[in-house]
Amino acid sequence: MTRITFQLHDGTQRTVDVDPDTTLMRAAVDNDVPGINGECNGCATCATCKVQVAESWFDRLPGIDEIEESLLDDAAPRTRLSCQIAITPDLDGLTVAVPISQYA
Amino acid sequence: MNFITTMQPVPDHVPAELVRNYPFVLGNITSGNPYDRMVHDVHRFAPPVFYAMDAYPGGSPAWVVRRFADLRAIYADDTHFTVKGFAPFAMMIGESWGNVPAEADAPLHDQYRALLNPLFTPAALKKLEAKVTSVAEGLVAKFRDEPAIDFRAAFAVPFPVSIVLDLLGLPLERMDEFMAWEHMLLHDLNMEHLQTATRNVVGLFRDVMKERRVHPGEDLVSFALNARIGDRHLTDDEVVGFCFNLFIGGLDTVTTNLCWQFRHLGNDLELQRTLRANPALIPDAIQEMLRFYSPASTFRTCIKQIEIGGVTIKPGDKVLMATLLGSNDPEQFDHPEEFRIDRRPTHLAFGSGIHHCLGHHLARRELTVAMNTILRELPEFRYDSSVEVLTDLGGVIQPRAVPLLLAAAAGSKGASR
Ligand code: HEM
Ligand code: HEM
Ligand code: FES
Repeated sequence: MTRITFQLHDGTQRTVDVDPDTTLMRAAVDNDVPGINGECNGCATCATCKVQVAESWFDRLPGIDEIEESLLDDAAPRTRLSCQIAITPDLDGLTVAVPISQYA
Repeated sequence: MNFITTMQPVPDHVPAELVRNYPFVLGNITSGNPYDRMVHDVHRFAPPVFYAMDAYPGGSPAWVVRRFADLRAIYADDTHFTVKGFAPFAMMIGESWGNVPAEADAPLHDQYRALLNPLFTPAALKKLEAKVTSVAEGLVAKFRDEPAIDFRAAFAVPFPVSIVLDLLGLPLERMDEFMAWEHMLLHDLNMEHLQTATRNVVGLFRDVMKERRVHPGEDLVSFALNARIGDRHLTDDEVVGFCFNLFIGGLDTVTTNLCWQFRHLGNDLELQRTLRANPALIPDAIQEMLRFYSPASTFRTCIKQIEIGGVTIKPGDKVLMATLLGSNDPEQFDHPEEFRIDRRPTHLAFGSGIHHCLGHHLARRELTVAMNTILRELPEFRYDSSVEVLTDLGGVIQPRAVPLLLAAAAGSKGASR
């Protein structure tokens, strides 16, 4: 189990324990974390699964490929597509912030 | 209907009990609101996967998959399904371009998307906001003193056309021409008209390309001509495909959603008042309306046998991807027939998977600007249900008119600004 904390824009937090073999987006959607839509279901086309990663964690995540990069043009710093982050044991304790809207 | 219709026998792998009627077929019309009952009746009475003999345009059969989860799985599955050949526009006039990127499969598709995505991010589109707002205000100014309007003709059609013309760097004076071609492409079942319109649109794009090669601008045609995939430029066919895709993907869909949204607001005065009092709720209202009125249906072709919901689908079989069904699936959405502003649903209006709508942020921005502007500029309006309105079913579900009664001319309500 990997423990992940989502900071919601209303100031509250949601902490969930996640099995491996999933992605951060799936973990959020399966646990009804509000504010992460995942319209394309993890295919890196919709950019409705954005999260902002805590500073201390950003460099420890897997790299950003060309497609993800193309969707994050001009996004807030340290933004990632949560569907492109595979859950692994070394992400235990990861904290990410959910934006107020995936559409703004 | 001028398509040649041949009644085909039911193939051996299709069990007879799965052959059903599907009402939302190209060419069918209804005088009611199909989102009131028809769409929910499909969920009530049909099996999860069924076979309709006339579901594919031209009157050939296709599987209809009605569950959100199954549709999402197919959208994400390029092992068993392809999008190739689902838009025969090029073929129809003997040319070779496909619609970039809708008709391309991975990995070429990924390269197209990587190229185009930055043009359609929320940040990129913010730059358009002022222009989009002034287009909306200009259209409203033309009818604000009328007692009654057809909102479809007065706003829902010209609004997205102006924006796409602007994106492509074409002069607004060509608006009427553009609208006529769009109509022929998407709402005319006559094969000759379709061919003529396709030729005209493609001819226009080829002319514009020639001109932009010499005089590049800030527009998307110039962008596409300059763009590179790996170490090569896009071919002319690719640029035409891209433009054509923008044209068919970005006009009618927005028009249709505007039609349903303002018909809804004209019938639900309480919602209209809530949104006027609290415009911050408009994005949530639009998200739920996109679910409620998901208009588009496209197709996939099976390329490798697969079982879905216990049903065998064979290579060559067509599968209808009806977003209206997925977005109204009662297994996914609690009481989908209820409009709930606080639902904030993840719906299928823009598809899903690798072809998820490239223009969804643009569409959302257009819809939000339209609702913001109209609720700000116009006093309370009502839907005129005394007018009979026919709705075309098929690739896009669109009413032929949206009769609205405006309070402005009556003067009774007083201007709210
Ligand atoms: C973006 C969403 C799209 C919508 C909503 C849309 C809309 C439509 C409409 C309105 C029709 C005609 C049906 C009618 O008259 O009611 C149609 C037909 C069709 N569209 Fe789209 N279009 C969309 C995108 C695309 C794209 C991106 C492609 C291909 C790249 C495409 C391919 C087709 C095909 C294959 C037909 C059937 C044409 C025929 O066989 O006669 N559509 N579509
Ligand atoms: C509310 C309005 C819109 C709706 C409901 C809509 C719906 C859709 C749907 C359902 C698809 C997926 C088709 C499939 O997978 O078979 C799609 C794809 C697409 N749409 Fe939209 N669309 C809208 C607005 C726009 C706009 C404004 C543009 C202009 C940029 C656009 C451009 C595209 C393109 C290029 C694709 C193909 C993407 C790909 O294949 O990767 N759409 N749209
Ligand atoms: S779920 Fe669509 S980009 Fe992540």
